[in-house]
Amino acid sequence: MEMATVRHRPEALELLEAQSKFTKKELQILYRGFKNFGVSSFRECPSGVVNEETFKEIYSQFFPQGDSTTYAHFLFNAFDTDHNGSVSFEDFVMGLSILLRGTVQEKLNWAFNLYDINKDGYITKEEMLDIMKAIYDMMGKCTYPVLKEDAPRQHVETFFQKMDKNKDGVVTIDEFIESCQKDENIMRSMQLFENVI
Amino acid sequence: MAAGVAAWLPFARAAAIGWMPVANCPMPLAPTEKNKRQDELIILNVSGRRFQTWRTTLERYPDTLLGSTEKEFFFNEDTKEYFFDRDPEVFRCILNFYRTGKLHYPRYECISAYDEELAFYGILPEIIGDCCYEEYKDRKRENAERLMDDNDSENNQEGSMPSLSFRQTMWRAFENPHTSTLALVFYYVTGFFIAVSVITNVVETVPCGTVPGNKELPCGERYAVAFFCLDTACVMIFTVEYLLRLFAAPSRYRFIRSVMSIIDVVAIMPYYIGLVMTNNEDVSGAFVTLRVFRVFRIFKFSRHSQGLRILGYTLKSCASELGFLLFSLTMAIIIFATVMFYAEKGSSASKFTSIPASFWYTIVTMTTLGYGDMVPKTIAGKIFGSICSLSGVLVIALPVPVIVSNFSRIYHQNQRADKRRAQKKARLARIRVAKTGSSNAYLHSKRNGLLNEALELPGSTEEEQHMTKGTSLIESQHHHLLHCLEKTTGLSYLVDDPLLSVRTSTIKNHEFIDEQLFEQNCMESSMQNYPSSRSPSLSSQAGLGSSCCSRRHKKSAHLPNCSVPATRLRSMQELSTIHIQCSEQPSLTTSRSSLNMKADDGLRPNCKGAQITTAIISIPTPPALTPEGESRAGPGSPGPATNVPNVVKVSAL
Repeated sequence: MEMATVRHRPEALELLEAQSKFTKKELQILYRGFKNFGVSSFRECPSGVVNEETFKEIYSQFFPQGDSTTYAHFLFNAFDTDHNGSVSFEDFVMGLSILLRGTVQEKLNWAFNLYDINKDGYITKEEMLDIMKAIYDMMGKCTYPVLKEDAPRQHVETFFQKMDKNKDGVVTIDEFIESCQKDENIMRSMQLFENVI
Repeated sequence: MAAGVAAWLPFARAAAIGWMPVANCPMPLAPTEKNKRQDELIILNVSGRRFQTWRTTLERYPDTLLGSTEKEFFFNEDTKEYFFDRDPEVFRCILNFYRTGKLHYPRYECISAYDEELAFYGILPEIIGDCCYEEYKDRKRENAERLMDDNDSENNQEGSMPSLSFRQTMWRAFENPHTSTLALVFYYVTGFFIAVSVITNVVETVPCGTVPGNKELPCGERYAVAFFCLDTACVMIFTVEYLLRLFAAPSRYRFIRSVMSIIDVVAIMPYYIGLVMTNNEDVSGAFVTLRVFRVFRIFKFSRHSQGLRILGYTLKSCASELGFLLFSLTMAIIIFATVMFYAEKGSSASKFTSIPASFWYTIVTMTTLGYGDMVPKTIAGKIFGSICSLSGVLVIALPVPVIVSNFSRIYHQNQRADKRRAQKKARLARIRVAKTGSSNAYLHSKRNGLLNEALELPGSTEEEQHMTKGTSLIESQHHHLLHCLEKTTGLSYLVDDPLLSVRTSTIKNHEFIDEQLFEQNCMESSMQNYPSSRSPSLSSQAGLGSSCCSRRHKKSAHLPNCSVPATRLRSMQELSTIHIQCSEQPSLTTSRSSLNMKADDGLRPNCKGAQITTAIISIPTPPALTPEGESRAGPGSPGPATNVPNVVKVSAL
């Protein structure tokens, strides 16, 4: 996993502002937080980019009871759009821009991309199962009711029943978007994090 | 949460969108920021030196003074800055803590001043970074020892202690002769008699001139009566002293076991044994041996001399070094004695008759005494003899410095303690003189005036009121995130605390648990709901979360919309837990119970109408819940048609 240049400078503020849907002030706040963390807090992480290890550590701070490394791995891949092994500030901003300021279509697209582990345009049951297990892992052991062995699998079945319209065992992007748009809950929850920044 | 991590919370929350399509249940509402503040620069004026930082930097640690609303007490309206009348040097370290997450301890600072500043700003010293922690702890320990010493000496020296019992006064008098004149007199008298007794023992054996009969007699036998009287007098004094000490001792058992008392006993025993025994020829030999023990009286002087005590203490503390010395000496003696024996075996009329006989030679040689009563005659013997004396010097010289340094350390410690005590007396005397100056009263009034002025500083704004009500925004957002995760998976975090146990499930998905289990759980939870102590808190806390709560509380309509009964059940629990939490302490820790404690505004959509009183009844519906079904928020409709045994629970409201 190569570390990019020793000091990675992000794109100019104006450029980022044009590319993303954040204002200058918001970008400033984001960068300050990003830079602070990517710098010296974690071992050999050079400033300006976040590698997968750091990413996993950051994410696991929020879910102390469970094991969030698998899900963080998937998340990392979803953010690392150019697949170079590290999330730069640009990747970070673009990802957040979609998640927080994007249209519902874009958000669903992002979610699909997250679930589609091998990025082949189809979500198979195995991929979904991996994702589901990763999510359940984050909850940890001490839950109520106690996690049953086949709970993730059952969850995947429900998901496929809902999403897979032509019952061909995979979910395509169109099926996904269409099914989600029909579901009020999902639509509503997509708007949940509008004002996070 | 750690400093940098809080900055990533928005990211984690945004990423939670990834769970949405998979979730089967609706998500709770996000906590809103009532007054969404743009991040602003705060000016902190510490004794004139201005520090500036972002507000969010300070809010990383919400349980400290600067991170919480406590700093509003120091807000100066005129200058729009926060003024602290504290040390700016230490403040630099404290502010760096907020910035970097690491607290450092500057070496030039006095440890107690630093501790005070930390306590003022509400920061635990335990989070000092590894780089500085050792130094901090060392200094702290030194300081603590010094304080303890001072306290001890204070306790010993303060004359005016409240009514001690007679026994206690006596004990103090014995231990410390400077407490009263009587003690001092007693101290000197016993000292005198110890000296007399020792001198008597010595003089007894001096030959005292001849008696007609041409026999040289020791003085002891010539003036037997006089010596006997002296001896009796001394022993009487010693016995009385011992008995008095025994009486006054706080712990008699411990006193009897202590070294000094054993010495006392051993010193006076021979006399009594001598009294008891008859002047029998057989036992007089033994009797004479016993008189040797009278010399132990000289050890009684150690009560009078600190140096002797230190020496004894040093030897005790150097026990391991002494042991090593002894052991190595023994090894060397045995080796060399054997060698010398075999070397001198050949020579005639050699004094080295056996190996044990050679021990004496080896010891005398190794300690470089060299009496000359045993001398090797063969060449081999002389060679080995010289090796023996050289190695003896080495072996003895090695542990000695350790013992010496120990002695020196302990001795100086004692010196320092004495010096401190002496200095303290002088210091306190001077301070007393200075204090009685007239400036005292003026300073008092001036201080009072400042305090009044400070109290008039403006109070809270509306947003501060909101903040003081509950958790900080970051905490509530974090909780909301975890809540979303729970909803996605259909599980809930297990709460440890039995009182605040929120062990009901959020049943959204019937695959997860069967109905019986659910009923059981609901029963249990309803039992927990019964304690009516919760109701007052519910009614009193109007501010938290939503105004819905208080309205709900008053309604008695039966609620039916239990399409999301479980949520409501949980949320009602949450309400009660929230309230309890707030009334106890607005703790901002992410303990297990607090995970379920969220300003759960998620109920808002479900309580659109005022008649929806969540907290009254919840009927467990099963699950044939589709997402559509769950979003039913019809007002007042009776419970959904279910084929589940309706367990109607009334919460304790």
